[in-house]
Amino acid sequence: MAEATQLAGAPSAGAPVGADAPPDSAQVGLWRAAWRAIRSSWAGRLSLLALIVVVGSSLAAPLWANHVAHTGPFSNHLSDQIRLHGQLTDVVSFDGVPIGPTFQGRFFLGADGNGRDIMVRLLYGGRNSLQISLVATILTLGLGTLLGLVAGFFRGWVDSVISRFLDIVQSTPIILLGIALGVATALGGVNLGIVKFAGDSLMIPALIIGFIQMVYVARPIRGIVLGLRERPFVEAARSQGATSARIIRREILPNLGTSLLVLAPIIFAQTVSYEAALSFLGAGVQAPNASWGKIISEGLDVLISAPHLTVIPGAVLAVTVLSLNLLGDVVREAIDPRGTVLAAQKDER
Amino acid sequence: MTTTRITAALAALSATAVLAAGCGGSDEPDTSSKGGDGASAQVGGTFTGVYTSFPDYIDPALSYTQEGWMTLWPAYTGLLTYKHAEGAEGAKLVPGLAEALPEISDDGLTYKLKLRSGLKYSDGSPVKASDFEHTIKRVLNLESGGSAFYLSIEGAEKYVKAGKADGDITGITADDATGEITIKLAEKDGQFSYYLAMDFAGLVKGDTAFDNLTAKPPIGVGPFVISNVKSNRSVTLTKNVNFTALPEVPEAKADSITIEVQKNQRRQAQDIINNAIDFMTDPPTPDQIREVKTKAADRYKEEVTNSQYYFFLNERVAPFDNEKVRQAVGFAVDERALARIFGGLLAPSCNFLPPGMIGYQKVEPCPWGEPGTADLEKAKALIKEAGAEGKSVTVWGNDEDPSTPVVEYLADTLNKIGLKAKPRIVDGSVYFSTIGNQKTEAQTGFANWFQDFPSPANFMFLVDGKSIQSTNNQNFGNVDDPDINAKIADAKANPDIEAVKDEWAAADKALIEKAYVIPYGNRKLTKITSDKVAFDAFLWHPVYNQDLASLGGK
Repeated sequence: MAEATQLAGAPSAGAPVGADAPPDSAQVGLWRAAWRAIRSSWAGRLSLLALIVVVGSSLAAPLWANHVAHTGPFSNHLSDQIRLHGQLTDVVSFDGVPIGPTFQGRFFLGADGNGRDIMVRLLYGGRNSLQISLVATILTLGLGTLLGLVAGFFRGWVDSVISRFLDIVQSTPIILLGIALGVATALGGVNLGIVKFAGDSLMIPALIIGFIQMVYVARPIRGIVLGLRERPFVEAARSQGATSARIIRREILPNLGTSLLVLAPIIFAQTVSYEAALSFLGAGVQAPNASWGKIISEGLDVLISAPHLTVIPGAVLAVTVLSLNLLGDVVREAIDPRGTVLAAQKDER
Repeated sequence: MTTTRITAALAALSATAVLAAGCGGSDEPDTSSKGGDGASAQVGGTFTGVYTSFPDYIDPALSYTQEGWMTLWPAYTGLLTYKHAEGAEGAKLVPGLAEALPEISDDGLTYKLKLRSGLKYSDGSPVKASDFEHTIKRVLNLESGGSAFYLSIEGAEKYVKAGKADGDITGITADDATGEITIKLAEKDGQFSYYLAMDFAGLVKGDTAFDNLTAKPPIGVGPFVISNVKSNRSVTLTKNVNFTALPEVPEAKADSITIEVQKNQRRQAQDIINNAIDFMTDPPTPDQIREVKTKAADRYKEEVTNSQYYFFLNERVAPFDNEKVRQAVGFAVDERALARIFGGLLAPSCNFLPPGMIGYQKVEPCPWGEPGTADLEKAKALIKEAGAEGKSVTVWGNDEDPSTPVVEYLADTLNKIGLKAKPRIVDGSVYFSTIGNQKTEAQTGFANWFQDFPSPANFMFLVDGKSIQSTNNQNFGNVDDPDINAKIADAKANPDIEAVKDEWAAADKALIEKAYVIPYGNRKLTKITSDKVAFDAFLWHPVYNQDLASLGGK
């Protein structure tokens, strides 16, 4: 708890943080503080519940598909008919308008233009969206922390090179950069030497979003590290002959826990939004995979006659992002009440 | 017209299913602007239409999109043109500025035409025979997308290589005094008369600059003059006061037509329902069609175009090198299911040639059952028989409507019959070059074609073994059947399509029976107008879509 308190009260970027704090053994305290805040706040409880419902139902997608809807996420039913209110009804009418919500097992939330069950695709789409967002968030936090840490700790030319690189990334409109990367990688995939991803792999949008977002973590982390490296406990370690690697590992890195915990839900919410935006624009999740953004885009042409195609995934997306943001606020208020991490992020922007 | 361009432009070119025999037209000027049912329009009035995209160029030498061709046709008449009529009549070649159809030598290499006397450009200056060579030089010199059509003229390639705008195309000779024009071809091309009727060959004055003149379009001959161009915003056509009706080219009905760009198709349909605009060229969005049909039923019509939507099956790559697997795809595909993806704007078909094309003879019975029936059990049995169960298949498509849902449908269908298929969607701008590269080894996928000119040759080259290339290949399935190749070669060499229509039909039938391609339908486009327009008199032309010269009030 001591560490959490000190970091929470740490000044903004560039100023000393975590002075005289024992740098380890603090993480348990942070998590406990966050959990306590969530439990004690209605916003925390509500948002956590919403997220549990979204994540849980997405994980249960195969159960719904196999045992309730009896169809898969890619199965077309263009010429099929179902019995609705005692009458046989086309899943997709001859003029291309799909059936709306039936609120029964098959086509519970209606069908899309290919006669695919929207409920099934929504659930599978949720899995894809959340999986991409999780990987992208981990990547964002990992890459951002690495770059911010190296830049802030070593300063000098290393800092200059990294900062200019971040400037370049940040100066490019993020969605346009995402589209450019998405289109470029859709055909040939991504070959990272040891790992290769096909053009339709879910990992590609995750990599793209992770890359374009890292700047929003790297900059505040750099600012915080610039402050930390001047603190007495770091000076003490240095005077005892500790190497840079050891100082980073033992003294600096553990002190970034609060910052990362504050940033994580915000970044996660952003990645969910970016994934939806890129998929909506055709540069994210590739066919036949579903994602919330993709389902919304597929429904645009029949917005009036089949509004369920856009409204339902849009609502799920909104609830997810809102819940993540609310949860992030609750966590931040608990472990960073003065908003220093966000202030650092804002300053660096 | 290339598939890429046309896909982007939702190309034009429609025809009704009615085939009419015979050719030729009256020698009397046609000034009635009568529709198929004899309806007529009032002379005069101003009208406003909308395009979703601005034409690529407002210059006949360069334009290669539906919007461009539709705009330019009434302002730039060529030596030959098409009858201003609907259906098969409109697909007939007729003399435009020439007195008659060309006199073709026995060896098919020399075309002789004679310019009508007394013709005037829109600025009042006389039309000269030598202007034809200048017109073709502009097409070649500006490296137009249409230049390939004229490279068969003797000396054309040399002219291009020399790079001198004022050079000579030795194969074209013209006598301004007599109006005689002689064109010599380096190699026989039975389709050359059609090239003379394309917008590229719409005559322009002999002093027209060798530049893209979109901002200030060239002077031409036709019912209209392009009087005002606001780049990417609007184009205005004004009645040409120096134009007198020709036997096959009527005078304009309207005093002026302004066509504006309205990107939002939903807005376009609303405007036309509310009579705020007079016509639109792209169809309404699928969920607006019901509304249009309800609120404007008397001014809405669907027209089948001379187009083909089909799945290519690469016979050089497993598993489609096996005829049984190809047949299985034929049995599995449900054309009526696919029509729903097109919002009903697709006419299911079993033929490769569209029904409005000379040479179309319905393949009956269709080897895979009537269009709209699928036999998955039979398809599964064929896959099993071919030993192709579980074979991986990549189904290629692009991100432009309606390719993606069509490809998703095919992938799902292939999975249902025992293959292991997944879609591969790439950017529309690189799609056709990607699948047209032999290194890609594209197994199957989405393909479509809209006619450049109303000849079966313009479709059958897509399945001609002679057209296979290592890159930019448009014979995506590498169809190379000696029997079909021979039929195409024989028919193509004859400029009289009527005389060889049975050969075209035989090639079409063989193509389907051997399941080299799986056609599933012909695109429908829509004609919608305001209450003000004489709907029936506003012609739906099989080559140019909406015939602006016939647009007039009730």
